[in-house]
Amino acid sequence: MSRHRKIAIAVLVALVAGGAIYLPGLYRRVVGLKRIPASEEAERRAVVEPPVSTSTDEPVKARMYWASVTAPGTVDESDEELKLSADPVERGKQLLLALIAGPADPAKRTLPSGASLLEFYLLPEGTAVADFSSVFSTNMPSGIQSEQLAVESIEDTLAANIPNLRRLKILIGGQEAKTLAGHIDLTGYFLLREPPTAPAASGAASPPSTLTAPPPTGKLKP
Amino acid sequence: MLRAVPKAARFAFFLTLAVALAGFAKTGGERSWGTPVKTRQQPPSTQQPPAPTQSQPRTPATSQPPSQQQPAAPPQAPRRTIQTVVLDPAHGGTDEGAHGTSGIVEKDVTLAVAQVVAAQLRRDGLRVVMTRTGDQTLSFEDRAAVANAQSSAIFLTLHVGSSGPVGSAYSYYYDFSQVSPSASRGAAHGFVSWDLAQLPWQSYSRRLAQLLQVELAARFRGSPELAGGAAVYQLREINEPAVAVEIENVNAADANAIKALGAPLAMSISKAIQSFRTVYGADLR
Repeated sequence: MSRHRKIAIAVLVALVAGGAIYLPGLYRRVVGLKRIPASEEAERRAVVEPPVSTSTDEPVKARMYWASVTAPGTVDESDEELKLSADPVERGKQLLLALIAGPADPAKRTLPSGASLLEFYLLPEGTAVADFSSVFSTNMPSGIQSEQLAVESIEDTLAANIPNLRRLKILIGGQEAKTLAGHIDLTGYFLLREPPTAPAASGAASPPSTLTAPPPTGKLKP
Repeated sequence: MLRAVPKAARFAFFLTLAVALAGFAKTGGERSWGTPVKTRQQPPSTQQPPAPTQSQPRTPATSQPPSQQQPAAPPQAPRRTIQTVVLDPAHGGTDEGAHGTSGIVEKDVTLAVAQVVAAQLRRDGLRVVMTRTGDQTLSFEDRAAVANAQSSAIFLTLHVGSSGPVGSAYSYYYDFSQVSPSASRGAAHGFVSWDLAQLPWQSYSRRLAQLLQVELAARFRGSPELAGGAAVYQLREINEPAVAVEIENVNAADANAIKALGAPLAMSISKAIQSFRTVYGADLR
């Protein structure tokens, strides 16, 4: 065996040995990195998304819409006591955070845990814009039915508790997304249905009947 | 004066004049000179089935959805019927779809189930086109392109959900009444954009989904009687009757239990298509 060949074999053996030592450590680091975003998301949420509280908050019977356990694929209404603001924008944030927090029965959950509400605002003509973090999309249980339930619970809950809403636009990470999680179309506006009956307020100030909150600029095309 | 013109030029002039007069006589003089000939297709007539035929475009740019047409005469027998079914096993390749708690991967189940459905439909004498027969990565547009290249066809996309009771099944059509397109979309100057291709077919898709849901409810315990209208993005680009079917659920304990749903699903689809063929072409407003 020539001297060059011996050197080449020695180098190759050294490389293989080095790889065998280095790769397991690299693999552990990659696996660790995959776990970090979820915990970071939770920490970030705790910091930037404290419970929405306003001076006009009063306990009311809010009408919430959760997944039905008796009729799969549909949402059921449920009157729950929540502290809601008289300001429709703050009220919308409070309602969406309540949906993300989830119902008492986990089987009725419609929005994925770990998701954050980045922004919520109202346009004067009655369009609600809800901007969720990307976890809203990535943690969503895959499927047409689960995505449809998520949208319906948002639509119906907002329409039942905020007067004069006509449309809903869902953004992901501040951007228009093609789909929620691969199935339901987010490129348009969801037209809100008329709530069957108004929620029974228990001594709470009703939200204003007109939407007066000025929209932030540069978020959505008129 | 004519003698001053060369003989060849005179011959050419009279030949052109003769050809022009012949053309004028053929059109009955209705077309004005200089107007380009437009082969503009008519929207589906109220006297005829709105379903397209071979000679009609698949969605004329000027056509209206059946729901917007004038009151129709009594329905007539359709001139054409469904000959082709485009089966779309959802997901595939790098898009694995839903992952079940027991390791079931949606893309594998949809392909296995689609193959069972395809075999049944071929036995029924239908031509079946599958958007994928292996583990390919396809975009929505790729799938729509396969579907929209067919004529006298319907489109069925097969999914496995992750939230409904195991063994239940649901059919969906694109319900345009639930959404309004973004301002950037829409029909400017009569142009129908690719992602609104489904709009004229909504009535047929709804009927097909409903017929299918009745069959699914009979074979899949826990399934509803009514089809769902949902903004399923994939369907909006399909230029023919289009339905999404979702069987539940990817979190089943055993993959074979889900794949076994292929046979009843195939029978449900077969029966629904047989029923749909009798109404295809009729006014479904």
